Amino acid sequence: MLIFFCAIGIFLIVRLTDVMVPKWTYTMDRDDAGEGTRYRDFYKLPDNTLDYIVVGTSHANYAVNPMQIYEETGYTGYVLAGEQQNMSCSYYWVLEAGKKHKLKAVFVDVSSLIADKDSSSLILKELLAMKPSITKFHAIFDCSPDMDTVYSALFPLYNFHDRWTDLNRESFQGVNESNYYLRGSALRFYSSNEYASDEVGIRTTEKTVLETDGTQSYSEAHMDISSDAASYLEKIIAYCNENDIQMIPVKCPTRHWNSEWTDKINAYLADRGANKIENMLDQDGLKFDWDTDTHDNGYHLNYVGNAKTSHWFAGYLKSMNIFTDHRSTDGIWNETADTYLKWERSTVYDCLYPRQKIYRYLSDVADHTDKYIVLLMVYQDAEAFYDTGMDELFQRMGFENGINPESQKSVVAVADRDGDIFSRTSYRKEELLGSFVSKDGEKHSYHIVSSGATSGKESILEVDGREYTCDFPGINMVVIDRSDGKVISRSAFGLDDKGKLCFEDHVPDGDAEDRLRNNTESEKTKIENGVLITNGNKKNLKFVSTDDGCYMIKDIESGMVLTPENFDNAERTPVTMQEETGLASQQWTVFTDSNGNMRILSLFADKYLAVDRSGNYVLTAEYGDESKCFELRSEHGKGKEQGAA
Amino acid sequence: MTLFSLTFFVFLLLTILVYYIVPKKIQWAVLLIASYFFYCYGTGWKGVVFILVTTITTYLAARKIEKIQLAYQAKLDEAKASGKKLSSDEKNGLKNESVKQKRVYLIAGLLLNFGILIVLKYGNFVIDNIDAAMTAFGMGGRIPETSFILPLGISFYTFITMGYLIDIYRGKYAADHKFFHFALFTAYFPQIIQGPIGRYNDMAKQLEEPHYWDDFGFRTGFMRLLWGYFKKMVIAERAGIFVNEVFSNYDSAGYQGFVIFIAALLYGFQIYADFSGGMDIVFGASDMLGIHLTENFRQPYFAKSVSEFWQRWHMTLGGWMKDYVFYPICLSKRAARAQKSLKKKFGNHYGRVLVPTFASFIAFLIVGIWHGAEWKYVVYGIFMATFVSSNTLFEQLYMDIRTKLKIDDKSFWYSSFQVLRTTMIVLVGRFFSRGTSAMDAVRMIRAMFSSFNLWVFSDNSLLNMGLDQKNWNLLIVMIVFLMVVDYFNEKGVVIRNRIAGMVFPARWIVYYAAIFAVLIFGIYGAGYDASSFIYQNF
Repeated sequence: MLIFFCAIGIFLIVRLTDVMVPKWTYTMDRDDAGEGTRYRDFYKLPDNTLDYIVVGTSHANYAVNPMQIYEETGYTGYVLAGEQQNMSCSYYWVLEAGKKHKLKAVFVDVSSLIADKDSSSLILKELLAMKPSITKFHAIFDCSPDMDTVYSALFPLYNFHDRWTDLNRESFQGVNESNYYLRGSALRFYSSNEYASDEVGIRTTEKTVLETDGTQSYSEAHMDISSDAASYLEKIIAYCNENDIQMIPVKCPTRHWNSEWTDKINAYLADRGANKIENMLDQDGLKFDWDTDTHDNGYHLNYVGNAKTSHWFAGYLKSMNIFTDHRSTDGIWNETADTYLKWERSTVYDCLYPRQKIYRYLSDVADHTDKYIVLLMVYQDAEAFYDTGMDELFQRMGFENGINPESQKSVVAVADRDGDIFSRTSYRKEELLGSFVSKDGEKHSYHIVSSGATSGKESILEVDGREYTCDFPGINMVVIDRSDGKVISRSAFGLDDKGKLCFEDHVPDGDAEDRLRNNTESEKTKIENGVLITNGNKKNLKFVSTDDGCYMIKDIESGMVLTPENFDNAERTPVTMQEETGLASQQWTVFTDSNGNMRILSLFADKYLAVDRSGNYVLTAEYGDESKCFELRSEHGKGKEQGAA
Repeated sequence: MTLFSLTFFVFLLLTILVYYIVPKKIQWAVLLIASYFFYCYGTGWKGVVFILVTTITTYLAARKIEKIQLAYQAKLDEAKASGKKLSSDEKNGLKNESVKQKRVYLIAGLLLNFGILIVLKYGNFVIDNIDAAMTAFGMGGRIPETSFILPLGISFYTFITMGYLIDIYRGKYAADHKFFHFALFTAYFPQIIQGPIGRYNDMAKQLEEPHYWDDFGFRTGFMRLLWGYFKKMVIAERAGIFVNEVFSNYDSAGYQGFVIFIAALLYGFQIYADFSGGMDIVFGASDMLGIHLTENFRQPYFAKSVSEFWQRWHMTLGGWMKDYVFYPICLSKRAARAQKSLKKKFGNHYGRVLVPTFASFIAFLIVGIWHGAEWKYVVYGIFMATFVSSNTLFEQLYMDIRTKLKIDDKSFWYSSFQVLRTTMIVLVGRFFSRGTSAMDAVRMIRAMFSSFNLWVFSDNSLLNMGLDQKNWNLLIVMIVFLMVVDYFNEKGVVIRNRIAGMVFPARWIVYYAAIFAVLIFGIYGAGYDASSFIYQNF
């Protein structure tokens, strides 16, 4: 009985620990990189499925995306780096990985050689993520900066017992992590541009550190290699040598670095006969804009920056000539890869470039204005975000001069091909009462009120007495199916309180069917069956659609697809034919403007496909003459395919 | 090592294990080794020197006193045996000679050991005040700064040993002839940190006799240990967060009115949970070894007067003061003479009570000073002494008033009033024991009455002082729970005995509930600067 109750006690403590310790789930908007999810996912991998791993600080897990690399090369890898991961933790993660996988290469980000003080809480995350083993036991004592961390790692309740005030459903039920596909990477789909990266706490050579009493403790530029970190790097080197693994020191991109440290570390590595650093800050073809390629003012890359470095990384792996392409044989990675591609496309769409979502939505509506009635009003202001793309699409809906919202003015508009098509703008509150008869003979009424910024806060979009406005500052729309007078979609787009463009659309409550989306099939077929003509010349290019409204542009003969070079998104980036990967960099948003011109926007770069004077494809931000050169023709090449303009 | 550290827990378990494994004859030796190990771990070798000095000098002085007493007795026996009848003068002469000699060793022992205590504990205080006085005359700053080591539990073991020495002098019991046995009595680890102040005649036999494994005793001891950890870690440490914030920052943050009142009230519960929780750990640990210490608390917040409060709070200190300060003053010849002349001046009643009043005043002044070497403790002592002694002095007057107003002092309402009144008086006293200085205490009391800010209960300001809503809720519930347990104890129901008597599964459910309550709700762990027990510093 005593043993039984002791066993119950142990079980309860284990269960309690599980409840109390934070899950550190990966989400895209957390401050941390979701260590819990990332390491738990690592342990789920079947044995002997990894070719390489990456360890080191957080610069690495924001810089390397093994799924993108797999798509490009077929090589399998995992990022076991972590926030402020010290070199001792890196060593133990190498051991952990080596237990289950026959690795061919270990990439070590060398940031932690130039070390600040260890953070107990961050090291603790690393230690708690390891599965119980002798390795973990040694890691606890070797990696912990203080005894509190040791106690917390051995007995997590020591640190987390006071989380009882923060418990929620997730604490008890666990988390669904089946939607994490990134193999240890962490992607952020935003840039934080509150201030330029140059101004913020970056480790420039001039920076010194002051203690609280004003005395200077050290100049960061002259910080030396930590002897403790160096000893663990040497252990990694020794382990790799013993197990026939290549150890490659790397420096992942960040502004939080300086060249003096690179030189110091290279000298240190040279002394030991090791490879010098593969410094991603200093590679041909890798150029970063710290304001747009990082999500925290230069510290860590965002999705766009990550895509660049992952592409470089893929090239580097290929050049090593030691890996096998698993794409033709592997089941699990291929399955995950497919899911990853879908996830990547939808996330880029949702998070990165909402205006492309707006274009697609408006295009879906404009393609079928014979079927729809569109009601629209402006709440507060729309001029700040309204662009030519939106204008063209509203023109296709029938608004001759677009909506043309003026700053802070009220706008009401109706597009009813069987009735009226008009829009009205003024500084006053605009109110419109109207009616229409649907094809089934029923009469329906509508009531629209628009208040610009200077005329109050009233906003109404009613159909048959039911309110459909999203109450979002910007353009609020309602799409009515002419056949039965039902509202099939309500949407809004505009700037949020942080000045970011947002879009939302909803199928009204009670409707199971998304008629708007269902009606897009014919248009998709038309595009897929058409042939892309560039400057009047047929180029054997066809659109290949994905399930979510994007298209690849494929050469019929070679099977290659149009892709911005080096995953770059800068102005005038060359766009060339490359091997198909299915990644977001190869996806395009397509719509036809009121003149029948095809507008092709890179999903990855949010820039228009254009043709320069030399006849080469490039990316441009503005839709100009170079972009007005595409048209879609039917398979038999007769006539210009136009949108419903 | 602190009592609620993992180290102590491991140490205790190992000691218990070895204690019950070794032959019964040497169990006391295990305790002695464990006690000195505990002491060295806590204080270092320098502190061990002081406890050894006290142990050796007290042991030798007691042996000497006993020898003198025995020699005197032997002379009387010799005279009786030889048939020689001694005159009363001769007898008195022998007695006086014996008393005189005994007194030399008693005074030497008291002076040496209390001297050590006074120098180590109060030396800096005296020096600082002399220096301050000299500064007032323009001669300050000449006394070099000194830092005195404060050995662990010096107040406690000094009182324990001096009580023993006085008892030997009084002939209450025979001196201990086994030095190591006496050393164990002095340094017994459960009581060394913060008491109780044990008596030799209660402890000696228990420490020496063999102890066999007692399942029930172990269970009750374990339960009491858990209860102690619960009180300290869940209630005391949690209350301390708010109390420390208010007491440290009342001036800079401008805390007033009810905020200060709540802090003082909470401090009362903090110190009770802290001290009695420490006692429960100590008692629990000792019970698990089969050695039962003298109780130190008896539900103090059910006291109806300040006098009664001190009969329920830190009872062993009160008992020591009663036996070695109060009664010696009251029963001295000088007091008897004084009482006679006071009766003539003030009548029978006041003449009778004035001397005990004075004695209790002195005793409680010493209690105040015993707490620490600061003026605030002197004021604290005077404050408590005033209420205790006035209670003695005006007891008859209060009784007459109650009779005139026809107040039934046994009624629930009057009893409640008494309890509340006592709590409030004690609360005011807490300002002096907790405040940073006597002046700060006065300022805080003034600030408490400066505003009737009832709105602090609804405007969430109390949630910005270290405790969020959930922690406040938990604290209040746990304090109520503590009082409920005290209520049962007051009614004679010892809950831990009831638990120990439950069937196995029910008992273990209670154990786990207590353990998990401490694990989850306890204030400990990374990021917490674990405070030692409050009374450990005295």
